[in-house]
Amino acid sequence: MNKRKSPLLKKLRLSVAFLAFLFCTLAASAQTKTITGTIVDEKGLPVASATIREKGGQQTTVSAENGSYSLNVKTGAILVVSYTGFAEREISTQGNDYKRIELKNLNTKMDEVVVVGYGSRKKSEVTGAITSVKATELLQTPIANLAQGLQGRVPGLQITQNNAAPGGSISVRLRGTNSINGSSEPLYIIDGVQIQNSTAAGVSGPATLGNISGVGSFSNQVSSLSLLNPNDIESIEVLKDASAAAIYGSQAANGVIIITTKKGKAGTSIVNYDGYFGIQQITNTIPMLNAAQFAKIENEIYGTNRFASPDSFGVGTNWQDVLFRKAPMQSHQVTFSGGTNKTQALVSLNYFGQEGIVLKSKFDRFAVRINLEHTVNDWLKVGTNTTLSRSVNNRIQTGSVNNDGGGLTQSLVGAVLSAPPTLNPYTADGNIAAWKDQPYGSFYSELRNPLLGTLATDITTTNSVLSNVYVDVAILKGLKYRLNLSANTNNSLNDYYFPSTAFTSGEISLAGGLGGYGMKLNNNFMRWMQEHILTYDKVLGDHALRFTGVFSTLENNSNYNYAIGYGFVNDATTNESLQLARNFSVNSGRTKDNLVSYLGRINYSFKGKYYLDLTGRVDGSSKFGANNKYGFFPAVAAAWNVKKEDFLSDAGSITNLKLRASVGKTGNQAAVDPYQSLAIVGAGNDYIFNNTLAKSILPTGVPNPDLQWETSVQTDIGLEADLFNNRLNFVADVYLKKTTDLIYKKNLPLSSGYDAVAGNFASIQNKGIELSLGGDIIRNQDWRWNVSTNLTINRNKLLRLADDSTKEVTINNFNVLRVGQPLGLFKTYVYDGLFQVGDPLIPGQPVTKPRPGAQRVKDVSGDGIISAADQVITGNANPKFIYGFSTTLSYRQFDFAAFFSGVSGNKIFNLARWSLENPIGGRNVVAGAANRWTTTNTTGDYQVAAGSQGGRLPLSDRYLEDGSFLRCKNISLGYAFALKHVTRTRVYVSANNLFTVTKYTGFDPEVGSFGSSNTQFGVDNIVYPASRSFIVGLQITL
Amino acid sequence: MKRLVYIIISAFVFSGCKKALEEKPFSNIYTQNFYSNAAEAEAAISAVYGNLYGMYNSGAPIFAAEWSADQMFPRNVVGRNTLTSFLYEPSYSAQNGFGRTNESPQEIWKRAYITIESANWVIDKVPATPMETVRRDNIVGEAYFLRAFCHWVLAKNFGSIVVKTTPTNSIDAAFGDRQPIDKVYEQIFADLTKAEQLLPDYTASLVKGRVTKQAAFLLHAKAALYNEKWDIALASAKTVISSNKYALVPSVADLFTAAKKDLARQEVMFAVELNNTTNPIRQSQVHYFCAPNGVSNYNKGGAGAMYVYSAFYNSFSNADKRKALMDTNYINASNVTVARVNIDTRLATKDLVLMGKYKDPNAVGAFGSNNIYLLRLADAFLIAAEAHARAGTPAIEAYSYVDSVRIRAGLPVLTRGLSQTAFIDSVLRERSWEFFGEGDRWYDLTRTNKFLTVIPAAVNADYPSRPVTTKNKYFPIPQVEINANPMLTQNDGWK
Repeated sequence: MNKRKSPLLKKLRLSVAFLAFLFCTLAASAQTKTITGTIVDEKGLPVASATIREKGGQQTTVSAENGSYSLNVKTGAILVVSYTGFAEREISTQGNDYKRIELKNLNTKMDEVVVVGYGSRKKSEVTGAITSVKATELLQTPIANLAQGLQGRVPGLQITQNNAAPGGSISVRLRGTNSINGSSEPLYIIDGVQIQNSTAAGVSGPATLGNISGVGSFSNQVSSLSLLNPNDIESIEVLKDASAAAIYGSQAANGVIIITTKKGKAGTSIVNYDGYFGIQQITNTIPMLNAAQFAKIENEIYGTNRFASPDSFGVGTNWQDVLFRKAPMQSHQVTFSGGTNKTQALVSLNYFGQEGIVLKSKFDRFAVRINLEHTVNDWLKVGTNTTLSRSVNNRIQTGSVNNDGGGLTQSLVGAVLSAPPTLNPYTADGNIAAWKDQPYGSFYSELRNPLLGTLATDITTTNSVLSNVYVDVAILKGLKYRLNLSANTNNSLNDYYFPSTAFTSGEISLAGGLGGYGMKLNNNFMRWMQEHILTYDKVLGDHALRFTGVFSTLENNSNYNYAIGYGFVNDATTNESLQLARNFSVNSGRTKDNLVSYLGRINYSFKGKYYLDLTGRVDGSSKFGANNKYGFFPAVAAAWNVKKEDFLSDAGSITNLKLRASVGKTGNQAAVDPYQSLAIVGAGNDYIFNNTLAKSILPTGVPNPDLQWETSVQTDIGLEADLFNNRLNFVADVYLKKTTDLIYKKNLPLSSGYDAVAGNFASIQNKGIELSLGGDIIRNQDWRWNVSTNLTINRNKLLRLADDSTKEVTINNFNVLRVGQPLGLFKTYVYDGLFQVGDPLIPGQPVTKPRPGAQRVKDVSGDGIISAADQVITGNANPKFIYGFSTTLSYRQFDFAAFFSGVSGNKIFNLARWSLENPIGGRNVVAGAANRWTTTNTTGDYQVAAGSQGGRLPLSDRYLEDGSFLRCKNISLGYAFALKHVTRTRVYVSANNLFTVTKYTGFDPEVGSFGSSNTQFGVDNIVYPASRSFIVGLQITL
Repeated sequence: MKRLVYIIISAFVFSGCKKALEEKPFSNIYTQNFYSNAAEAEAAISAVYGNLYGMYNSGAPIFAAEWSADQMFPRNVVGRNTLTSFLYEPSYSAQNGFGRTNESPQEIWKRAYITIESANWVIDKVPATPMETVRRDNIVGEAYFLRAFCHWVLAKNFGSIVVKTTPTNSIDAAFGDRQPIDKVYEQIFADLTKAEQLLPDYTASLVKGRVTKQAAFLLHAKAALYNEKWDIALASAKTVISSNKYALVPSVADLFTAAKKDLARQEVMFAVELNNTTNPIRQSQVHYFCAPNGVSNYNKGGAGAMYVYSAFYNSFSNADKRKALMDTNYINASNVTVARVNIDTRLATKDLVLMGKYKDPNAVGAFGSNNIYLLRLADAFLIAAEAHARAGTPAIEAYSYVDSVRIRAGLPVLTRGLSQTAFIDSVLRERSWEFFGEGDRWYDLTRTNKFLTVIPAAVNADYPSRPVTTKNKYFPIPQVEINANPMLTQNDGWK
């Protein structure tokens, strides 16, 4: 038990040692006079993060949240004060001027710089729909993964934490789902490096090992974004419309997310510590029957006196209390940044550690970043942005994609819910108790103590490098060239071992070997990219012109190999000596694909009033079919700065008013897998001749030489307004995105020998409205109160499936695709109460035998028999709207922030409840089943318990629930102060995921048992449950 | 212009590695480059057999037939019970909805065509493969045999089916129409004629598991019987018998003893080869389903998923050695004999009977090593007998065929002087005793239309009513297939 605590103590000790070191260096450098003051803007509002530098000296600092600064300077020194968007000022320290330094705003809010594809632009010049998120917003909640920080912040972006396991998978959908079989995840570019965000690459481990022990389940996948340290991020730009994204051509149809990391600034020298520590606990448990109630229902189910006196069992074991725990999480980041006029650098170190609320689950990440830029001479600059990270993820089997009650048998959480409360988890001496040895345990010898599942080792260690090196050359006035070479490698090793002690006797036999099961799985991914970027700027009177031209190539290499051994003599060597196993299997594979791109963009503006952008990109991909190797992706956009027109020059209340419109075409090449268009042979079923195996090889699919990218054509119209001296900001966008040539795995006649072929067969549409509204309600010297809110309404509609005649396709037994309807459609029976004695028993009842007390479904078609025709559309998983609301309030040195996000109008299919309500025997059922139908309780609302072993409840809309929720994602309270030698210290407390308002009866309404699936979402088959956390944090700037 | 020179150099360096966008797979090779030598041809024919194994791995061809007929029934659980209760529909929704697709007729449809597709590639490509010609002929002959076998499996289950004789090398080639039953059989006969020419005679030294000329004749006989071409059936069956290449295993117990599978090869002409010691293991769910739940003398991990109707068990004469291939108790892991009433308390039926043809006390886990028999010499005798009798009053020759089988089973010879109908009924009854559990009986009932009278009487406490109708003669074409192929129409009664 001590084992769990010691790494944490070690981390804490390290942190203390580091802080001590910082203070020592500080003491050595302090020698001269200290001046303190405040930086304010024209309205007297404090300016945070302004740089204050001693002219000609080494001393430099940045101002705190409340504008205050303190600096040691030589007597008579001159201060240079600068801040982006403000005019630089020089202030003498002789008088009292330095005590309150006012900076003049150079321009309006419209001139913040926005990062766009292959460059940056002033906000006033942007013609596309781009939302920027600053680090302060992103990091308000403690996040393992940058996508978590974006949730609720960006109109048009829907982010779903599919399961709450540490490092768990997240799906990100920008302006709806644009794909069916392909990825709908956006493209991520971090400092010009494209990162891998594909869960498809590589392989997962074996999926069938009987109960609980299977690996490789979708909902347990790790998000590759969790390899990135979010604390290094300066800002994130979300490129939403075709004009902004088209520069990324065939990779841009799902939108582009550009991440810019923090950089060192010339003339500064800053050391920053940012850390927190917190405790997480489960937000919600699911009430199940207690032991006495369970014993009673078992007697009814089996029609025998299994349990002689049910009431004597009392409450029994609450298995959820056994599996769930309070778990610590922490993050520590130290950043050194600064630079001279010639060289700027930033170095950061980060540790993030999160133990999960389910026993044994854990995620650790160590990351280092080095950002460096050096100006060689007046025309040459070189730089690099490099990050190295190592993540270690201890997984626990908590997800299942098996619709038939797999949530109970393959997920540890489900197994715990359904475990008999009459049985004990542990023996008196603290070992995991076998059930068959306990009183009444032999009834459950087919099942296992779910805690045995925690004996499995499943650790994935991933080493990742994300790096670019760039060279900037100023060729002529206005003409610049950049060479950008970048690479992303992810190398991971999955160590898996399921010890023999964790098998029940029945399962040992299923595993085919009497002993443990071990695996080593290596996944290696390497992407490298070169980009040659030429930009040319020219101003001719009222006309301004910028040309950007790029040639780039990209190569992805993936390979994997794994070795499995099973049937070990003992568990001593786990998976570290696979050669000791009786049986083996090995596997390996390699894929490679290339992308070659040529692109150009012209930005034209007239008098700073009218803007016109033309973008075009040609992409050639090796993955495309022989007949369609190259695609062309053009876009055009225009913007009109209405405020700059004469007729609005007097409208003082309007600070800015801009109208913009764009139309363009983007592609999704990630929807195509390498070699998918080809006719290739692969491994078949090996066959026995002469009682030994012979190798089999056979064709694996039908070639499709026409296979190509998916094409999206998107139109966007937007309005941006800043009113009342920038105190009210408003952005609205409407869009229509039609995706044709959608990759769809069309069912082939099975008589062809193949079940499907991938081709560009389908078509889908997303349209929507995005609104964001923000304002400073109060801003004066002491008080600042800011509120911002956003709302997204997206409507998704499938326009075409495999061919014109296919109107509906079944995905599973409750999800269908139907033309004219959105993805995520539920098709089920309609629940019609329970059969009462004397009710006519309609034949064909789907699963359980019709009888009094059994669930009845409606004969919708009215033909007197229950058949597939009685399954109707009963809802869909798409929210009617999603929204976010945040507010910050500061009073002098205190700051308070609250952040809410929500979705509304979506349905969740609670497959977990479908399993947990079923009195199937041998498994616990939900507490509600205490009110089950009996001959004496005919008003009961739950299925009668009597001999339904093996039967299933009908899949009806009884299990379709309202998934709307409003979640308080974060509330935090901070206090910032200056100390001698410490520029700024801020301490804060925050509560995350504090409460959720929802009618949903499962663990949490934010759920996705099928990971990032485009067709099966809003399905709860029991995933890793959500947690609430309380955090204490410390930020120190030296 | 120093800077320009740098740029030109760098552009030159980095574009030097520019390649065409051609794809070169690492872990696979192009289909058109395959089948280029003897080793590849061997791997290709092995894959055809391997696909057939894929079909029997799930057990679907056994389950669909046995659960529909009057000899065995599944434990009453979702999906499985629809076959016995005749509640399935073209979408096989109960099976598809509950992860039991691979136990349903849909699996037969799918796996048979996968096997046909791999056979078609062999037939298309291997004749041009540079290799030793005798072995090459054998390989092509094996492919013809396996293609014919799968078309026959399809025809007996679904009636009029798509006949597929060319590889699917493009999307357009994936679509084909159903053929009338006689056309289907014409193709089966044509393929078997080729196989008979190309395959070798059986010898004890032949590679175990490969099909022979005699197997092709036996399949020819059986297909002709189903297609009611009595003369072809008789002639082909007689060819098998008179070749004297195979002989009945003297003891039926030996025939179904897993450890004696090589001994059984003197009778077994075509089987799905299984092995629980290879890596990976080759196994079938059939063994797992037929064994009682848990560890027993049947299996080291059975499911108790199917049992024999006690009425069928009782129909055996006590002298019949084949009756001993069933049990009314078993020995559990603790070496205790489990009585009949306790064989499986999950069922309503209390007079359960266990099917022992797939019993393997030496199973590795749930994996029995008994081969699944698809064609054996006993069938040649009984086909010859029936085909002979179909032509008119049975002569002594017909009786002698039946007697061969009866004598081996320990029964007296068949009573002489039966009418044609009575004789044929005797042969059909003999078939039911001989081939129970081997996935054969249902097709005897459907091809003779006896299923309409036999099935409603084959009931028990778990299946008190079995509402079979004429449409159940053939399973419905899987709805996914109808959806995917606009040319197809559904079987009568299922539209």
